[in-house]
Amino acid sequence: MKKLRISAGISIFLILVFMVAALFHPRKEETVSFLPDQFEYYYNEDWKLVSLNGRKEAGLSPDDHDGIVKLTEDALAAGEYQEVTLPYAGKSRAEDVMVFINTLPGEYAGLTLGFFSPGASVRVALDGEVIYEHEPEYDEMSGKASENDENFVDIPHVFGNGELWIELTSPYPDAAAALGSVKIETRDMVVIGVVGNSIAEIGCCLLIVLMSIVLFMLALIRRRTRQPARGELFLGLAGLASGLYCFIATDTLSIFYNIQEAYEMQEYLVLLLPLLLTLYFDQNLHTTYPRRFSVLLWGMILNAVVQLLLHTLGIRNLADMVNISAAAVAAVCVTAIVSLIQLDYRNRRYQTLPSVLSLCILLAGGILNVINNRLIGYIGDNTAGQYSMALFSVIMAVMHTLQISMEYRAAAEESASLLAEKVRAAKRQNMQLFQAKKDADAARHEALAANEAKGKFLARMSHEIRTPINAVLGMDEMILRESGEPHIKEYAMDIYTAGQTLLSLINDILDFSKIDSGKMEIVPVEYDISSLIHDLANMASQRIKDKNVRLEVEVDHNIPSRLYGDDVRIRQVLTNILTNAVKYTHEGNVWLRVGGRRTGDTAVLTFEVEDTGIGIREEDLPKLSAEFERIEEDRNHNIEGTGLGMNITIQLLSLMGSRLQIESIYGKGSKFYFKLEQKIVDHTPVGDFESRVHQMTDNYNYSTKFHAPAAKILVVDDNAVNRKVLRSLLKETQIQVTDAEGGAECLELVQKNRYDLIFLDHMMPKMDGVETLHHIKELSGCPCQNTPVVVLTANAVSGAKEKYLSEGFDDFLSKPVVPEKLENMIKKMLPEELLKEAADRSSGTDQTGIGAKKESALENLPEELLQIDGLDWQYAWMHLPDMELLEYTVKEFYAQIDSAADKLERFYGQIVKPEQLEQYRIQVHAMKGLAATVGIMPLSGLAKVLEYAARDGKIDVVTSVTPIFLEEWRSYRRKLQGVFGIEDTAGKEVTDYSVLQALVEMLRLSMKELDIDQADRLVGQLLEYEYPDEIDQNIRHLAEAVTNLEPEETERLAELLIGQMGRQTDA
Amino acid sequence: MKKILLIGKLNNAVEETNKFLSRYFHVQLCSENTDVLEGMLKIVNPDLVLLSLIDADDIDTSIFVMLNGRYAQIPVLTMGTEEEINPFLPYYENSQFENLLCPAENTAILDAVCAKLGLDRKEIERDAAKERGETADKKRILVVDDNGTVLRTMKAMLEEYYEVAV
Repeated sequence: MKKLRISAGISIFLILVFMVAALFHPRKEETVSFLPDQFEYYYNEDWKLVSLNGRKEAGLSPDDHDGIVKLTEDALAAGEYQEVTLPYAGKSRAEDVMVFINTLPGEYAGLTLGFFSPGASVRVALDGEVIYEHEPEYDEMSGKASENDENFVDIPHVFGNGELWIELTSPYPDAAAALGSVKIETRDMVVIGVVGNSIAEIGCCLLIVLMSIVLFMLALIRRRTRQPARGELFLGLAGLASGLYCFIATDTLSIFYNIQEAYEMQEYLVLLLPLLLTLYFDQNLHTTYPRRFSVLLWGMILNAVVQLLLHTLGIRNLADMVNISAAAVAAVCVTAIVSLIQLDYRNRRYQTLPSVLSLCILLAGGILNVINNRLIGYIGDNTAGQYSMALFSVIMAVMHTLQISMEYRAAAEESASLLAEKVRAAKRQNMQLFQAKKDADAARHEALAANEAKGKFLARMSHEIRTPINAVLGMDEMILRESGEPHIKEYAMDIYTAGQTLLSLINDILDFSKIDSGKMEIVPVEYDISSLIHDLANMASQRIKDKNVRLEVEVDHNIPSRLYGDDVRIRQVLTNILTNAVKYTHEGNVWLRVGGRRTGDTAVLTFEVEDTGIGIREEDLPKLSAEFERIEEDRNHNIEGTGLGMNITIQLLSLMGSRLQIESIYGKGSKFYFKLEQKIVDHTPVGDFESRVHQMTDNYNYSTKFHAPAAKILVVDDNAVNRKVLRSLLKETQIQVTDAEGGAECLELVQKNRYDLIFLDHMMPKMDGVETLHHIKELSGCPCQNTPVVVLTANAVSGAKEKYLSEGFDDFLSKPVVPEKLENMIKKMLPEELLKEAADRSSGTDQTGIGAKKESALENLPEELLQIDGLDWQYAWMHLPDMELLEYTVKEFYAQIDSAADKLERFYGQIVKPEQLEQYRIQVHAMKGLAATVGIMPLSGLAKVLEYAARDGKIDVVTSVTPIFLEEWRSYRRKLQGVFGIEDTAGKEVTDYSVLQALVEMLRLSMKELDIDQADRLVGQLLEYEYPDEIDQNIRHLAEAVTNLEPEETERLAELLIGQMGRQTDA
Repeated sequence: MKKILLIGKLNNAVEETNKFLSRYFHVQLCSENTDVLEGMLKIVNPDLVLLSLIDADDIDTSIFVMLNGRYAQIPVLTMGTEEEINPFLPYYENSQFENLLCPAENTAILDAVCAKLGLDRKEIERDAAKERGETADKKRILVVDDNGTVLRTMKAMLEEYYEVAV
């Protein structure tokens, strides 16, 4: 398409070039019009016409003026003339002469006569004297004369009658001579006349040109505003070409220069019109009908090129081919009309109606022109074409103006709507910003409130958490007070330590919260520095006992013993630093150094904590003071800590007027130190402190693990659970364990087999451990004569060991058996050659401590174990660190609950005198051990009380406590429901709801008085029964309400239950 | 100690009677609900039923019927005004039932109970004083907390040496 347009452009260019060239083509003669100044007169009336047709055959020559005169006179005399009014066009043959005769008034003297005589030879005679002659110019190519001749005849100033003769001779055949309108006027009036004569045509031309200018402007506007082109340029050019064409046709140009050149130009302009029109329609319709308009454009290009060629080669004149151009224009119009109609029909929009209309007008004008020139015979009349072109131009200009204005309006509307949209978006954005600001303000308030709430929450939560911890520590304190067994105390101490750690964590949180809110205060008091250091050393020693780390305490002997300051905060700071040192030191040393310098009544203490720990990277040092931030979290994630301690330490030191200094080498160790000014209360020096600390830190030892696959051990215990426990504990040592359930079996075995070690339970029925030992010693030839015998006993009291040793035992081991102690005992008793070190200890120190063992054991304690009231799983796990074993033991215990209780009750019933307490004692002793084995320490403790009471003959104690003990013992039947799948299939069936109603009522009243003991007892009774689901649920809720000491809830549930039970009774 | 089942609407009179008589007897309170009462009788197996008719509008003859029918062996002492005992007058012909006109002093109530149980009031008072003396040395501690676990813990820790109320 581009090439086609380029070709069209080239064609247009060529036409223009040829047109310009033609303008400068030399002429044969120049005709200069000379017109006198005068007014204009139309001289069209009263003409007589004598047609000398057919005279040719008489040998009449157009050059024979006299002959023509004579013939004309004859014709006039004969009346063979017609009266005509000008303009006149008539048919004639070649060389026929038409003579127009009129009388010129005298006042016309000196004026100019003007008239058209297209294509005719003209001779003008006045009073018989020829005053003007004119021969038309011939186109040698076409052989035709020019059809645009206008004649101006100077009328003499003096003339006679004024008989005016105009002789017209058609110079070629098949043409008619015509005489246009005759005017007599002055020269300038000729101009006016020419103009005035053609005013409508000139108007049309001007209109066409004006519309073209409008179209040019529209094209320019489109171009400048980057609107898509709609062909206004081509339309404008077409309009301009046709406007010029029409203007030339009005002969107005003859005023300025030789109109002949203009006529030449006209011929080229005619060629441009179809091309330009095609280009216009092509621009608009090419996308829809590409082929059609391509063909059309090619056709127009071809038309132009061929015509130019023919004209240039002299084969044919352009003027002769003007009809071809007209036909081309018609073809363009028709094609355009059809295409537009098709487009409208397709799109159902009918927007091209004006274009179609204007094309129809243009086409009609062209057709009318052809009809005028060809059929009517008025050659050269282009009026219809001019008018149609003018209309076409106007319509197209208006249409394009409207189109562009509509487009602009649409664009403006779109811009307006976009602007409106943008305004709306801006408004929305404003609203959003406003809302966001509002939200931000709200968020800020919320954040402030949250911060405040956080502080309150921290304080409250720490309080809430402290409460149960205090309960735990309180009960732990009870254990520490009441328990006589060292290992129980040890466990209780561990609980205490853990509880203290937890408390310290909570205190950290509280302190942090306090410091954060500016409420932390330094409260100075008098304190002993040695006590502070001792506590710190003790604390640190506790922590390092399981590690390959040594604590060194170096205290300046001259430090004043009593000072005035906030020892609590100093302790807190040093505890934190020491704790970190211990935590992050896996081997080596931790030093606590306290130095001092006196200045009058003030001591400047220097506290230093140095370690050989993991150290801190320089870039991590700033993190020390950050809240909740821990250093090398990935590496140290299994070291406990909240990340608060150092932050609090630094802030506390700041409050005390001190500053923490840190020196650290990553991978080598760290040193934390600070100075503190304290007032001196007592100048007495503390003295040698280190030696006292050494004693404390040496109290922890470690045992090693071993294998002894060749060793054989006999375990004698009447309790199968105990036997299994011992067997499991020794499993890893690979020792060959044989067990016997009593003294008799033991004796049988020792006679047959040799054992390296015998564990012999003391309290056994029929033959106890002491008796069994004596029998072993009495056996002659017994392989186990020299086998060490260790007594297993729950009586690990002071003096018990001596007693057993005096009986002949080699040592004793207290129950519940602690694995480390068991191992130690075996290592002690077995020959060294039977012992082998365990292969998997690779810490480099082959040390394991009780704590480490305990810790590792506790690590494996399953999470899913149900919380059972009174049952310490951790304690049980300590002795039964195997899930299977634990399950078995618990189930065994559960299975024995009733039988053991029944047995004890039977023995209890038989007690009349103190001497009858022995069986009772034995039984309760066994129950003590059983309870302890599964970790039910309160029960075991109670059994111990009974055992001792029975041992001491305290019947009243036995009498008062046994029912309670039995009740508590039997309650585990219920409590162990669901543990390891245990289900109580023997739950009591409710036979009488009135009794249960009464129990509920009693419970309600008890809770009203907060008689807790009574309430607990009643709940226990209620829980022994099986109920329908609804009642069962409420019973459990009731139990919870009682546990939580909620009288109102108890009241509510009691009323509900009484009603439900009443309905059950009715049912 | 003898067991008394004190039945009645839990108003001030009943609570005060309960508190007073608890010094001398094992007293179990019970509401006037007949269903509960029957169970209560089975569990407590009281030596005496003390039935307070004071403001006890819900008490009807069903209690009397039950006590007279199935628990005829248990003496019943009612406390109430003449108007309050009026609906139950026929039962008082039975020796099982006896009324103490109210309002009555605690000592009068004690006298009536002792008489009904065939006990010597002075002996009762002596025994009660003796028991009170055993516990008189103990200081009384009141523990106040909204947390049940804390209360239980504190009670457990202290009750050995103190008289603990929560």
